Amino acid sequence: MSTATLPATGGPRAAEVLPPRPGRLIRYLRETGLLVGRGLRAIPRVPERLSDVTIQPIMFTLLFLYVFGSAIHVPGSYQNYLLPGLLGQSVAFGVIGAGVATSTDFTSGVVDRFRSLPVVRMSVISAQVIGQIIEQILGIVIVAGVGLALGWRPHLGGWRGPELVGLMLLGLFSFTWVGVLAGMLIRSSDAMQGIGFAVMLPLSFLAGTFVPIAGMKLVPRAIAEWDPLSALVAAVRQVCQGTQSSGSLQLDHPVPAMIAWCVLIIIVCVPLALRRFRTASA
Amino acid sequence: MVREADAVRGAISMTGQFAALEDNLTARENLMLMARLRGYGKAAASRLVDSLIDRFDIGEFRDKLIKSVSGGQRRRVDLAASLVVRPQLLVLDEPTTGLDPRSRQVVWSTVRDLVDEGVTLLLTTQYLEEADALADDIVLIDHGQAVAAGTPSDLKARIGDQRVDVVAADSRGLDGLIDALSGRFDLTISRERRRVSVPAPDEIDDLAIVAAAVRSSGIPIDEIALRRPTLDDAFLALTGQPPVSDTKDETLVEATS
Repeated sequence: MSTATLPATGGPRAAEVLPPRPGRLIRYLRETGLLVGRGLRAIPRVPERLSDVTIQPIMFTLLFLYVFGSAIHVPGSYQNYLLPGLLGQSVAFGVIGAGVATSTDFTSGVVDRFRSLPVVRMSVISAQVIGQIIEQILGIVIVAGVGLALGWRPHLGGWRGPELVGLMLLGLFSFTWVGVLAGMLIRSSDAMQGIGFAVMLPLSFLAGTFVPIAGMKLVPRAIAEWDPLSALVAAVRQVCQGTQSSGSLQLDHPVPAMIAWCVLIIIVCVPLALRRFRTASA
Repeated sequence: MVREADAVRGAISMTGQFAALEDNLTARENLMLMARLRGYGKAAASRLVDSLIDRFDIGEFRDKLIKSVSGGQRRRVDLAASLVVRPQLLVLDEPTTGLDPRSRQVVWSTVRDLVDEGVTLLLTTQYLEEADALADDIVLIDHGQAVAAGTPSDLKARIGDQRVDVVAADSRGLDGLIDALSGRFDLTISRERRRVSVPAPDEIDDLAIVAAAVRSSGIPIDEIALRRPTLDDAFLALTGQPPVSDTKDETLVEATS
């Protein structure tokens, strides 16, 4: 082994000179963009990764429209009841998708590698959240398209359209953070998938997504009336169809209730997730 | 350290035992991402990545997805990724574990080049041969305890002179060799290698004596050789047992130029 002198500069290692480092905000935006691009580029290569935001909600749509739907009685067409429910469920299921993606990244070590670079650390977790939201939006657009083709008729005149988009984005943002936090805590994508479904599926079934809460027995109805997903589903349904829900304070005012839930989730989960991200080792 | 975290991260690079790469990007895309995150513009990143691709012999699978390349190829991309940082200190955790011989050669020669360029290298390995080939300073660790430290030649010198090794053609032959030689020489026996080993302070003279004894016994052998002690011998001598594949028993190796 050489014990010769140190080549100070010069030689191959100095061939490329790093540009001067821009300010923190510029670096944050640039790095976030690069990392979001990394996630999006992978999508067409593993289309099956999108199955939980595409095939699965389409299955729900078909099963409930054509199998269970005839036994479920709602005022108006079942399409107009079911589709807003499925949109709400898609938002909530963002927890699972974000959780699985986050735990996969953390266990594979790729996050550690990013963090070992001199990057603004917030950009790693921001990219995770933004990438997940984009994936969920893709799925939601597909579900809405299938719904429209099968006879769903939303009434989105005036400000209803922007209101719906705004609510969905707020919902996606907050539920994705829950997923990112859960993914960092659970650390195994299989476990994350399992736990995610075990928690989210009953909450979604209780939330009036598929069947009206009013027809449920006492105990499930009591849970459903305060299930955060109920507020989410009822809010989307109110904005899309003008349907007024009732039964509890949050169901009487679903839109403010949903906003309140989202704000609460953000206040609790974002600082926890950031803290976890800063302290999580290897 | 904490306040200058970015500067530290700019100077240190580490490659873990398991490749930390994005499976669904190609080798080149992974390297580009690292280079861009490091702060290079597109053109500069592209030049840097192409030079790394050359250096690690990645060219033939540069556009394959990481999930579809072999373990050795993955490892090479991983190492290349860790060099995007242009570190002053490079930490490698068992860089050649499970690699095919060609990949191992690529890694070794690259590591040597880096050290020649002024990078300080800290690596752990189970392969004493690797430590011998790459290191200036070695710390032998057995069950979490440092049992010896020094340069490769120091460590080898501690266990003494050259030896004559005789490898029997089969295990019956080994028994015969032991019978034939044990009266006259101080034998070290390694059954799993069918080998007996004799100290050879007089080097070639001892070789001639042992060779004559083996020849007159008429036992078929595979090999007879005079050789310098290896680090494996040093490890055996210093710990009293062979190096086992327990991650705690690693050799910590440091190379500086």
